[in-house]
Amino acid sequence: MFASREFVSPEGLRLDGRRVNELRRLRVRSGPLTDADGSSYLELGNTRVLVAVYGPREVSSAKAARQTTQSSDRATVCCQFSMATFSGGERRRKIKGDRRTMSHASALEKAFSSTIAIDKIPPRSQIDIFVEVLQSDGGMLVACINATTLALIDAGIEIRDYLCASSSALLNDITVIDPNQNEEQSFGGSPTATVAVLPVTGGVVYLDVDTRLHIDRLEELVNQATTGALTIHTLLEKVVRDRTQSTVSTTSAQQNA
Amino acid sequence: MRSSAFPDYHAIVPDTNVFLHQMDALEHSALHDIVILQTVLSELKHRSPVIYSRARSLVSDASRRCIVFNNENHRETYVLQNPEETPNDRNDRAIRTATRWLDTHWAPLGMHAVMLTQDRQNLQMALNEETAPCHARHFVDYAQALAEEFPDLADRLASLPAGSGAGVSVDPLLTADLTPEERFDFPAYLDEETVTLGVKSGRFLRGNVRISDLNVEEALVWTRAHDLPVVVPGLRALNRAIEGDTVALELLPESEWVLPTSEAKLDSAEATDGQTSRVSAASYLLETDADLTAAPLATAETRPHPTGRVVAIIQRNRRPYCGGIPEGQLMLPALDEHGTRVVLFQPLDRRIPRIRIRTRLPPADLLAKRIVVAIDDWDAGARHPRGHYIRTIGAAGTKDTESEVILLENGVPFGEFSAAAHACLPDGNWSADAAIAAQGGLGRRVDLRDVLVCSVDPPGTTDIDDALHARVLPSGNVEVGVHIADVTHFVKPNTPLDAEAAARSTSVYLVDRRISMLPNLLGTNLCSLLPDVDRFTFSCLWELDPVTLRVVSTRFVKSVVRSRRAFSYEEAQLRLDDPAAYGWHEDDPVTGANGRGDPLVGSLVWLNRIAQRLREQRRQAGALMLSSPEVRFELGDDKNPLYAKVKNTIPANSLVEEFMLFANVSVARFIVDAFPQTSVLRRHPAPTALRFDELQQFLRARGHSLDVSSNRALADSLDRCSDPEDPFFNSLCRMLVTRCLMQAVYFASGTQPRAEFAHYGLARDIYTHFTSPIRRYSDILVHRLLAAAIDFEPTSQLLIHRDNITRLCNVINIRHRSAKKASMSSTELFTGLLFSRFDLAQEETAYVVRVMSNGLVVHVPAFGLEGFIPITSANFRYNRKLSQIEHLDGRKFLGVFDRARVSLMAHRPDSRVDVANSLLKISLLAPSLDGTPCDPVPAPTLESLAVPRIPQRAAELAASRAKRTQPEDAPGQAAREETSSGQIKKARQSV
Repeated sequence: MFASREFVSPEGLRLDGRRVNELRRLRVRSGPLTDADGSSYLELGNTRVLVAVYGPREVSSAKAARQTTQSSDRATVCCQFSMATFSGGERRRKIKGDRRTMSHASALEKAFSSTIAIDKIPPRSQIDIFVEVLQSDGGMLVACINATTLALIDAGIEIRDYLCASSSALLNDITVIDPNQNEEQSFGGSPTATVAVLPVTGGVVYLDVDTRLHIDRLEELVNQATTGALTIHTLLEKVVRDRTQSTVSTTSAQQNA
Repeated sequence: MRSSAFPDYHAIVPDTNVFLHQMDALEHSALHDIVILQTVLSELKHRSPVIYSRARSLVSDASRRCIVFNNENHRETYVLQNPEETPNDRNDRAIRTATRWLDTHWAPLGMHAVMLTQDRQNLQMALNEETAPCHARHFVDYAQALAEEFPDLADRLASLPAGSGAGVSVDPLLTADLTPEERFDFPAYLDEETVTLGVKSGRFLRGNVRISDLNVEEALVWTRAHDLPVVVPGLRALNRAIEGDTVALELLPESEWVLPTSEAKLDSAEATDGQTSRVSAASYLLETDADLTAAPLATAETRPHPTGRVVAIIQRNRRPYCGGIPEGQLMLPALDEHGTRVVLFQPLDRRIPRIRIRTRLPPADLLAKRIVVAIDDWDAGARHPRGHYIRTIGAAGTKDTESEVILLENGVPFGEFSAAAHACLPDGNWSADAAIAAQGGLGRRVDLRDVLVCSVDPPGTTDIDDALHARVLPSGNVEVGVHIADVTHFVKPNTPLDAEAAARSTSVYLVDRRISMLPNLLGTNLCSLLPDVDRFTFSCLWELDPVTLRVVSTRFVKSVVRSRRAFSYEEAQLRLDDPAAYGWHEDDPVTGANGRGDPLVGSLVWLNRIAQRLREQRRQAGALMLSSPEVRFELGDDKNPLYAKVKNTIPANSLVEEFMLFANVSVARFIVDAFPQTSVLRRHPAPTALRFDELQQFLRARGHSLDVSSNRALADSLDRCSDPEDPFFNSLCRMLVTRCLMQAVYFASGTQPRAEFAHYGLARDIYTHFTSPIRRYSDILVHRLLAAAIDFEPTSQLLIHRDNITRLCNVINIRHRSAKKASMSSTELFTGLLFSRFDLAQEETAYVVRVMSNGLVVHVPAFGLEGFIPITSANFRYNRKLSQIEHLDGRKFLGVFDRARVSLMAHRPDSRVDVANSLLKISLLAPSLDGTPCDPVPAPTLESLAVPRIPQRAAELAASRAKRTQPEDAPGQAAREETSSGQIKKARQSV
């Protein structure tokens, strides 16, 4: 065997010490920003993102205005996605509005348009989602989706269900869950599937495979990513419950006082 | 394990340096219960991939009870690097921490963990660390203690550089203990930084050392900066670099530039011997086709080469070497009470210097033995490198030992398949029906069991990987099918079996044995298309117009077939010669109209008709019909040679060959459409005219010439190169032309422009190997590509990754080359064995194929071998311009293409002088060296060359064996035919 292409050791450990079906450590904080209507900070291993949510509010941006005229009876979701200049391995100026940024932004917009209970939001209003990637180490979109879900909950915007995402990659014909950047870029870009699901109501909201992949292998890849997303759901739910509980207990304590 | 160095029951935890320097000792079975830490493994992975994979195979060997502990991922053994620590110190501490943890972890079991290190300081740290010490021993002390029980373990220990203070208080190998004649004053190497900068700035040149086969004290180094190789003359300039090393060179001023020697200078010990002759079947052949990039030297030699000296070794490319210890060395007195001696080991590979080793083994165990030795280091003050003994193979000059030496020296993996690989095999009772039932029907596999398929192979072949059929369809068109064993049904990607097959890359055929690429269950049973059993195959089906034989349609399917008959070449030939006698009648033998009778014979007849047409087309396109001498050995029951004969071919051989070529081309076209980047193809680059210069010169002297403008022109002009007086002359020309050609190589289609895909020898614009997946890994890759291209199965990720395919192709090319070398060395060995067994002396006609300043290289057609005859007499001189040896008065003595009478006889290797000698001695009879006039040597007839040379006693042996084995079908015979047929088979598709 050739040591250089060993992404999963014979003992079953990946280069960063995880097993093939292990997620990276997930750390989240709800509401780190006080001025936003809702916000969250999320770490998935070394990928770190900050999300702020504003709204629903009156249509202000040109983009939202355009969309509103198209469907005047609905509220619009607007997402701005950006990466900090220091987020990558090497520091370079990120061009605003490059193809990848735009596609991530539109992916988030679409995914959350179908997650937010749009019919309960006043029509002709807009919800703004600002996503800032502070550090990227693979699974960037995964981290953004999960963080946005949390920020929306923090903002008190009604959603139909949690939107939880995870990814999986095919390395040397072995499926690994939640690949980091090194694994995503192995073999000059290994096939990576990103999946976002609604865990309770069921249904896949977002699915993306970025490299050539034989169709027969898709199912396995999607299944693994879905499993990961479900695990993330239990973690997020616990965070939300704990936070709500502590908020409730502090407010009731204040009232009692 | 237990040891006097640590009496309690314990497991050992070697550190990284022990693995790097003492791997040979660690591999000794005396050491077991080994824990390899993750820290160590990841260091090995970076520092030496070879050692890493050896460590990995140690883990997979269950008898060694070796385990991996992922200490870096364990909470209690992970350590963080302190600010004042270097990464090395941190890793040492991680190893100590892990050892300590294991020790406490196992305490309830009464088991200990002992760290083994070579580093005194680390050892002290382990023993003194205030917090909690761990058990530790110096590796050398530990091994020495075990050596009481296993004496050869002490020999396997690598010698440590001075100052590292091993348990052996004074290592007699170190410079301080050398005798004056063992001393040498090499210049010191420059430091790494200077070299890196120097190479970058162009002050130094970087290249690989190629020691000249003719002069072991001279190297040629190809560099990017010069179109000629840089000559590195002499030991001092070579500065301890060894064949294969990557070095940094400093050029000498132009006034000191020299020509490379063309003199055959052997190792100094040999050179003084004077009369030594060397015989080899192939070494010169190998030299010419060794390297694609190697330009011809012939015309360039008029100007001096750039000349340089080695200033540093950038990468050491060393392996364990086979060889022996001359008797004189073993007579030296022992140094201590253990019987330790320091001796000079003589490697078989002449390009490798002798190696000083320390051994405790009694002289009797080393005398006339073949042993394996590795180089540890080469001190600036010493004439020879120091090394250590690894193991003894066996007695020199015996069949089994020498065959193993051939495999080792060519780097052929020949061990048993691992248990993990065996676990991938199907059950021995596998049957096609059961397999179809298990997967719920044929699926996309096509049932061709009703088609009359047959195979044509050498008699007794057991690994049948191809079968054929031809039939007239109701539409009037002819359908031809080539059915290849469906090996990839059993060998799935990313399994241990696949990894092992990829590492082997090819089956290797020695005269008396076959080193298979796949386990025999597959190769000779489940994949082999044996008659009357259902087998899975990959089929190419063509529909041809019956008159023009133009291809109407091509189809590739995975199928299941049942071979009706396994014909031998002779059987097939009989049916082709007279189909009517075997029950097949046709009204018109040209068009095959109204054929009736036995359809199986009819199938053969149609195949032959089409094959002839294909062959003609190929000839028109300019395919080369080349020859290389092939010798076949009759082996006795003990697989020792009885006699040799030159192989002859019959037309039926080419029948199968044509269809295989046809299938390969069809498949190549198809897969390259589906996978333009990652198709595995085979190309044969056109040779430059320069490569023919030398040969042209010799041919012109004989009144012939070659037109090398294209393959067609070359083929035609080769046909004209014949001498009515000498029927062998044409074959000789074809043989020499073969050596001027480039070597065909596998490559990933995305790495070359389309125009470079062409196969020069076969005159095809694209080519690949599809038809022998049992014995070639390239074919396995092609099968997978084709299966994915016809959408039969999912594409493995590795197949669509170009760098991966390129890497695999490189490995296959290397293995392919070494397999070829090994087979040729084996033929050479068996020729030698034949002579030494019967103490044969044979007089033969030989042809001069190369002239050197101190001797001649001759080719002996009857045995297909080549030998060097030294000419040291003062009566002759060497004429470089005419490339001939001449009398002092200028009369020609012998030049290229001249005939000579030579005698071949068994050569008893005098172990005292030279253990590396061949078993055969060749000397010149006529024209005689003492100047007595004699008649010109007459040309041999082709018949006389093809007569088997059967020694009297061998004939008796063969006769008695025949008598004995007549009643029952001897298994020994089957086995013999199997290997010899393998040889033929190999020849069939070596294109």
